Amino acid sequence: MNTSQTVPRQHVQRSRMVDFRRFLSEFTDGRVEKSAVLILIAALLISVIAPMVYHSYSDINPLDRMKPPSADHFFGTDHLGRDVFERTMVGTRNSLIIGFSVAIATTIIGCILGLVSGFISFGDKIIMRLMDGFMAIPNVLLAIALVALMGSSLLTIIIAISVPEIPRMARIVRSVVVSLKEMPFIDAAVTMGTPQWKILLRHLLPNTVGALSVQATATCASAIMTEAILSFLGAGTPPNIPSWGGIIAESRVFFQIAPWAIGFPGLMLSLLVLSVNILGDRLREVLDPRVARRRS
Amino acid sequence: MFKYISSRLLASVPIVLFVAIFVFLLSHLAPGDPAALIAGENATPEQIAQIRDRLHLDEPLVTQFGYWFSDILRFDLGNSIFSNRPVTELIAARLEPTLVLTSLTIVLTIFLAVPAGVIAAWKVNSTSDRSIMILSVLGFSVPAFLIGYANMYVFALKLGWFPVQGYANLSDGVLGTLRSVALPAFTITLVFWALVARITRAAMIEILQEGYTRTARAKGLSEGKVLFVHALKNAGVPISTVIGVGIAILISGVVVTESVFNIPGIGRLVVDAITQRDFPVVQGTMIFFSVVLIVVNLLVDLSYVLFDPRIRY
Repeated sequence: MNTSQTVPRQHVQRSRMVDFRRFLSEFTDGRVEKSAVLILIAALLISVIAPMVYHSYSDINPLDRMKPPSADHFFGTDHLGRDVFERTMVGTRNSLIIGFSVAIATTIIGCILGLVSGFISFGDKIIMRLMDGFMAIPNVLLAIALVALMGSSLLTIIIAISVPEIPRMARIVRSVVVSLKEMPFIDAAVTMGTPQWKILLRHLLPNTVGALSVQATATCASAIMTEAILSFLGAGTPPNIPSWGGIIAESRVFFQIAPWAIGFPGLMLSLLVLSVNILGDRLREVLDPRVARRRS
Repeated sequence: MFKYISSRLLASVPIVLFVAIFVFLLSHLAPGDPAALIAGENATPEQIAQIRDRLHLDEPLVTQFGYWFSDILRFDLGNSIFSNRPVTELIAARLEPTLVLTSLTIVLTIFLAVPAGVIAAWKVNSTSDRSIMILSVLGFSVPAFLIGYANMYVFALKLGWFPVQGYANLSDGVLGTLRSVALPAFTITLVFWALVARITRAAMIEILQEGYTRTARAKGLSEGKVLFVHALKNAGVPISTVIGVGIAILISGVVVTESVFNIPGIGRLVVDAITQRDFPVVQGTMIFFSVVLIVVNLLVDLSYVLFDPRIRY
């Protein structure tokens, strides 16, 4: 049984340890979820270890150009004779850094904007109109334009991908805050003379954690994807840093001769994004009582 | 109805204005001289001076924006640095392939995703539901360019059913055009359908628990009629909403897929403009796509009337 089925969400915060343990066991019950967690852990390990182990990932070797996958080169070689396996492994770090940084930046900024606009009606109008405006620009276009302007570096890419994601996060937090604001426990806090900032931080913020973590996971997945798209289109990670989208972009002209140089990094990318998405879905099921009830 | 449309149009004025201000400021946010940025890297000082003069860069920011925005309202998005042709003309020339591609994608998506969502909802938690849901997660997770290359490899290179790359104009025959956009459209569909299938499923699960579904079944209607006529009609509003919201995803899919399949559409225009640092074109297409997004969402809101007679504007 699930506590969230019978107990309203704002009480779930109590007895955090017990709840967290139950959450964890529930979270990783199916086989699919377990494999997703394993893939994510593997990706984390690779991103730490690969750059230490592989140093020759950008060594050009004209004799070994576009060799198919073999025991020497697991993923084959690209048009410059570089080992695709090594480049892909080292590229994991880039994707993870961008995925996590964007998720964290978006969560913090979106959370602040959402809390303020949900709680202070004056701020609401301005912030939500601004968010509407940002949402009217297709996010990949906005990101490409930002990178094209600021020049490409790790930081500018993180900023460029975060900016279009923030409105979505802000809206979700706002909607939670707006629905909670009418709850008796907020009325009680107001009646007791609790200062506004304390209501925001102690009563409203903890209750947005569920929605926030689901959205943050989705943001992480879509950031990894957007970075690959940007790099693929030539407006992403600078070429000296191996990135999955970049490897694919460099090899696309030779697609008919060396499809492995596109296929393998593409598969790694899909696998990582898939795992993050599966975990996000699971998180939603565990944290959202409405979905949980429907499943049982 | 007319009142609603006009009020909605009025409500989108601030959004358009915001987009315009933002796109305008983009060229000023960047470090350095906006005229040099717009002129590109190989510009001579005379060209830069010319652009400075044309954009009124010596005047206050608000005045500059006024000039720029009044040009946009007269459909003048400036000239491309690269080809020196008006941006509106460039967009118009590239409109056909993108329009054909997106329309075909939307049609394919509806025909694939809606039945899949209905079946998944009808047999919740069954094997077919699970597999449809897993396929839809794949749609979110596999990048469009990988799907594109996989499709190209299988259907064009190995099987030879479709041309590998390029676009055949409508004026040269509709069949050739359809053949040339079939693979790209199928590629974007595989990305786009996930969203639509999921919403259809979620909406249908709730609808199938409603009283009127029970009534429809109780009066002896066939299951197919219950699902696709009585129940599906009620899912029309969420489905059309998600298609409207998904236009943003569709646009990014179009940008990527047009580059993969070498289709001379607006998506390619943007990507080329960025590699050539053709800033007026980038600004122009951003405004174009944003207006499309706003208009599509307005049309989606209006389409609610078709699905739900309770909604009156």
